[in-house]
Amino acid sequence: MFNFFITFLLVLITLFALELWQPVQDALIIPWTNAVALMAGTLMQSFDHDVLVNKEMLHSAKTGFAVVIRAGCNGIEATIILIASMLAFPHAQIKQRLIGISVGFLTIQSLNILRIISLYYLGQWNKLLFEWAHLYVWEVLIMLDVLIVFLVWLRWISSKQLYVK
Amino acid sequence: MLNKSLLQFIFTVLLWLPVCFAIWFLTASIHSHLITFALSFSSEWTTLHQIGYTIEVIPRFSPSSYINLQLTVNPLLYGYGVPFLAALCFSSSGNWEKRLGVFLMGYFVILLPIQLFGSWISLWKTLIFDFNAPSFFKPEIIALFYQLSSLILPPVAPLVIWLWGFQDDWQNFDAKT
Repeated sequence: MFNFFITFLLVLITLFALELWQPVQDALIIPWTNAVALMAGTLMQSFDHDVLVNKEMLHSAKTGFAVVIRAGCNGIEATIILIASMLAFPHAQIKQRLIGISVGFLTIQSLNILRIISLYYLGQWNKLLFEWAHLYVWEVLIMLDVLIVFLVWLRWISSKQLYVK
Repeated sequence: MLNKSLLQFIFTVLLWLPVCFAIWFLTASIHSHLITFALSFSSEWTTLHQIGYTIEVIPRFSPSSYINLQLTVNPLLYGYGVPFLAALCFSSSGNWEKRLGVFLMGYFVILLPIQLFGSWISLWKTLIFDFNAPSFFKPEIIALFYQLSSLILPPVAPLVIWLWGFQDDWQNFDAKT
């Protein structure tokens, strides 16, 4: 298990450094952040016609309240942590890792869109609760999601009898 | 071999989380006091005052020159892993001695230093980028460490501590549940 933790930390730091690299930011991270805002905004517009989307910003035509999706809010860091854990885990086939990463990515991003929508409405209702949910509670819930995906993935590998302890 | 189901574990974590968050927030000023105390040794360039759980910082760019400026550092931004780790540990199997032991060890050895590091880097990032304070480190290094201390370390640390401390749990969740 020691090797797992060391590999996990090395992959994590590498992916995180890659994420901060400006060409990756320009080609991948910023477009993805805008896409997350667009997806959340489009979803909200289906039941709330006051929602307006402008690049990474969602704002309300009715109240003027706005949220901006920034680094740390786009689900990329949580995805990086999940990828690092699945790549570092020793007893899995490449196909299983790819399936795990794909399903995990979808799960994290789905929860992140739910997070953005909830924060958008929470912010218009109560600023203190918004701050609390934004800075602390949702951060933990997203990481709990990462952990659950990882544990379910481990269980799936185990059920396939390909994971040898 | 433990036979605790994954579903049961997740449910227990979700029950513990609000309790741990409440206790953490109610004791936030105590956590911040430790950070304030440690930060006070880190630099001769600042004067620190704790107000509630936030730390008010008055920068001083030379021993004799104060400027009329006050910065606020919120150590809780780098410490939300504390209630998370507590919820994970308290939901795990094993006796309470082990659960509390892993939590306390993780808090004092890893989470508290991470909180201190995050607060320290946050302070220096503001001083260097906004006020051109002199620094031994290049601004790019400070920016990188700031991103690391705010985006990666606080969420990853509790997971790593729990995965390390409760290996029997996560390697043996019942596959049938």
